[in-house]
Amino acid sequence: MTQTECLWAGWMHAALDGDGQAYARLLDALVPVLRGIIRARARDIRPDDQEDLVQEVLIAIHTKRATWDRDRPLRPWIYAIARHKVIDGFRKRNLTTEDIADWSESLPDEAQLSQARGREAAQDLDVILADIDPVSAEMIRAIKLREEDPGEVALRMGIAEGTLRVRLHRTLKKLEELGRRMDR
Amino acid sequence: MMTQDLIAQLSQQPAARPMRPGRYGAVLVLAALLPLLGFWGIMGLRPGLLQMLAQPVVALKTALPLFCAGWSLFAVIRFTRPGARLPLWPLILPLLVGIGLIVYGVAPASGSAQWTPFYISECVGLIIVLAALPIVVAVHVFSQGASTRPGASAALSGLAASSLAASGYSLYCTQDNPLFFVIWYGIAIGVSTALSWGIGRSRFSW
Repeated sequence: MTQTECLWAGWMHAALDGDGQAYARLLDALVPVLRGIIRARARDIRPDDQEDLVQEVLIAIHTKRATWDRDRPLRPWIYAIARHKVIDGFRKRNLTTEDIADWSESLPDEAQLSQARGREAAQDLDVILADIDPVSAEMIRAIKLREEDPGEVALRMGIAEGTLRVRLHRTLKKLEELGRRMDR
Repeated sequence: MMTQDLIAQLSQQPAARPMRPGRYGAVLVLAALLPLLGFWGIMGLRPGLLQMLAQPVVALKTALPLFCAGWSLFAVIRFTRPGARLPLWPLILPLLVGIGLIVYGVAPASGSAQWTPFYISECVGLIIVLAALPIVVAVHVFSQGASTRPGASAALSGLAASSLAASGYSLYCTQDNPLFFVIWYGIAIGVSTALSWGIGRSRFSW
């Protein structure tokens, strides 16, 4: 089981026990994966249709969440639902049957999905970082993306390491808020 | 609606109770037993049932549809979970055994078959009638799952229900020639399965 799958399964377990926050986190995490899958299979799909399809899959996952067997891995269950609903959605939107058959035979593997997620996340992050002050943006890039040592980054920026950590924490909070607004 | 709003809405809904497909199977068996008990109560079982069942050919008349019912029930239960896979070729085995009995001319030591329109329509008609309630129940309960093969699930529901009905009916039926029961039981089960597929598959769509 991959780390992602462990995380998803943990959220789903909590969700089935009534934890709405864990459920929201799971559905949030699935959105970029679903967008990646749909975009990879129908590049000419209109953005509105794509988002409608994502929502249809989310609703299907929600409606059928009781059918997940807690003793089995979550990923194949999610992908089976996604494949079923996306094929259905393609049919409704009169996308070519070749696309459907092709897709039903081969789901993107974890590496493809990670790449899609990574590309999407990088694009989103660039957009968000452009909205904050350049010093904070550089701090995020250095510590969170390039994984540089915070002490060295503080030295280079001419501030105390404690100050850097406080600013980093505030910036991350701000980014979280910006990200939420972007999704809306 | 924005995706984020949808997620917020979905996550506020109460938790779902886990599905118990085994219970669906039990419900189907009960739904099949109910009309059979009424039927046996009115018409009775065949005379000397236990002695007749000691004959392999007569026992196969009950065992072949029972095997079919068991496998199709197992399959339709599995298919309630998305992405489940199960080979369906074992469902051909009872048919092959039945054809084998006919080809090799196997006949019971005692017992007969009466090829009259009355007995044929009694056999086919009663199996279809006895299968009606369990088919409706099977389609209703199994469609609460999330089969990614709606057509197969609808057909399997019908096959499980009608095979159970045929097994139960065989305990009353005195037509012991394989040529009779393989053909007419097979037709009754086939018609019921086709009806279940035709009427039920839209119920399995989600």
